[in-house]
Amino acid sequence: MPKITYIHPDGTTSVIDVPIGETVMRGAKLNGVNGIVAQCGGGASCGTCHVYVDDIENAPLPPMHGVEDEILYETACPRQENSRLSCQLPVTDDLDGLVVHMPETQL
Amino acid sequence: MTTSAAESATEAEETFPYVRQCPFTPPVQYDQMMEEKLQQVTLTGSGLTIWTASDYHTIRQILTDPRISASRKHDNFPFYFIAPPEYRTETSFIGYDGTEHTTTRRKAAVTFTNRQVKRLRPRIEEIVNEHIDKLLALDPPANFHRIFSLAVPMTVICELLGIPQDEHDFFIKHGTLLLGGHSEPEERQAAIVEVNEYVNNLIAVKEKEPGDDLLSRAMAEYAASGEEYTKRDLFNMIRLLMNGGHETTASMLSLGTAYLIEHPDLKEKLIADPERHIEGAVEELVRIATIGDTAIPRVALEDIEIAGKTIKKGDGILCLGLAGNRDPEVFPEPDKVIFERGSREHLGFGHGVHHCIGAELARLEMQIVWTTLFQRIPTLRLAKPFDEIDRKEGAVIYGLWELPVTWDK
Repeated sequence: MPKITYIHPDGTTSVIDVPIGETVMRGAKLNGVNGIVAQCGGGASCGTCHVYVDDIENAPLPPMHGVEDEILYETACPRQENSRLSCQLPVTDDLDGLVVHMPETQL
Repeated sequence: MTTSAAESATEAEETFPYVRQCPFTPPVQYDQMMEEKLQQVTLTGSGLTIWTASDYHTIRQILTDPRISASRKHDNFPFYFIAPPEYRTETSFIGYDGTEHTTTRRKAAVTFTNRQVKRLRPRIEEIVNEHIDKLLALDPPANFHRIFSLAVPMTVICELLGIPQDEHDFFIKHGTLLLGGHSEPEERQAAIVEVNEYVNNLIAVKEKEPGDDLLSRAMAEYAASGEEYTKRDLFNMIRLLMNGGHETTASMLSLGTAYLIEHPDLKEKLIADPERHIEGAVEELVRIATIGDTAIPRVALEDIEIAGKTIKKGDGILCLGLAGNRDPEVFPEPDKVIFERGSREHLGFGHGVHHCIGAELARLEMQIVWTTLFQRIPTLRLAKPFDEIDRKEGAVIYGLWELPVTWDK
């Protein structure tokens, strides 16, 4: 099962085995990893599952679509070059080893 | 076979949807159902036996479980009225699962993000004020629901979609036929055909001359993603957004206005400091009314253990948001509207990938209406006792058929 590392704002880490077919957001929610709120539950509507992706240039992520791009302008913590919505990142074998940093706040 | 009136009444009581005690109080049956979390009921109309989920956490679990489908094509899909075949196939993204859902919804979603919606504020303020002017130009009493609640969101969604002003009445009429509880199956089918014809013509216009509207942007999104759309994709999407964008907000505007009028302490509190209270007020009114209580249907694709019970593959499920939104552990004193808690955690806009696409737009419209309306018409009151107003029992989207109001000239 692909391993995803979630790094909390205080530097602590949670390493989670996330089943293929889930999303990076759901991997956190299903395993009690705080720091991802996902108020809308994965509808790409609320912007509360914001993460910063480590080494994003080399991460095999799906392309960002217009909706995600729009929503990332409105997140609680400022958007950076490596910002993504974790509900829009389906977990595949390729994502094994992905590291995401969670922002100070989602709300 | 003859049935006595008493037997009919019992039968009517036993089939779902049940009748609300008042628009803001769930049916009596919900108390027991909420304790059980998941229970089987028999549906009016189709006669199917389905599951109803009536617990906050169970509903959220169901709505984020990929083994549960929103497709209307399943035989046991929990329709509680006689649905024309188009209701199963011509749904657009509300009835799609997985990738098909994501890719289709995306084409429309760019128009409804918080950032895009905020830009509409000045225009929505204008529209709201114009409709208050129209109301004030009349001799009271007047039907607030028709003159204001239906007209404001219809004007907003038509402008957003690129539909000219003079066609609004056509869409109000057809929207009510498609979602209202009083229409006949043949009327619903005819309404789909007529709306499709209209939108088909509109697509032809926008293909020639794209504008600054959702339809033109959706076509551009298809082009940008290298996908081809069919006219069917577009007119199903437009019909979905049209219905979703006006009937729902209209229901909330009438219900919320009536609630505030009936609770003068809350109304005064809101008028005294709208900036502080409006966001919380809107979330709480959406929660207390949960107009989409019977509008979140699903079907299990596999046997699923949930809340100590087994939902079998193929079983229909309705997620009762009105019950989930009364969970006292999530919302202490659930029957009270408490502006201060103002949480967005409620199920009033659904949950999961099908979470209401227009939630931010609806929020903004309600926020503008309830900060403006009572400032401009401080004496606004009901012209008929609230419990005598005809309600849309059994409709997909709950609401009022009318809202007679009056005011001091």
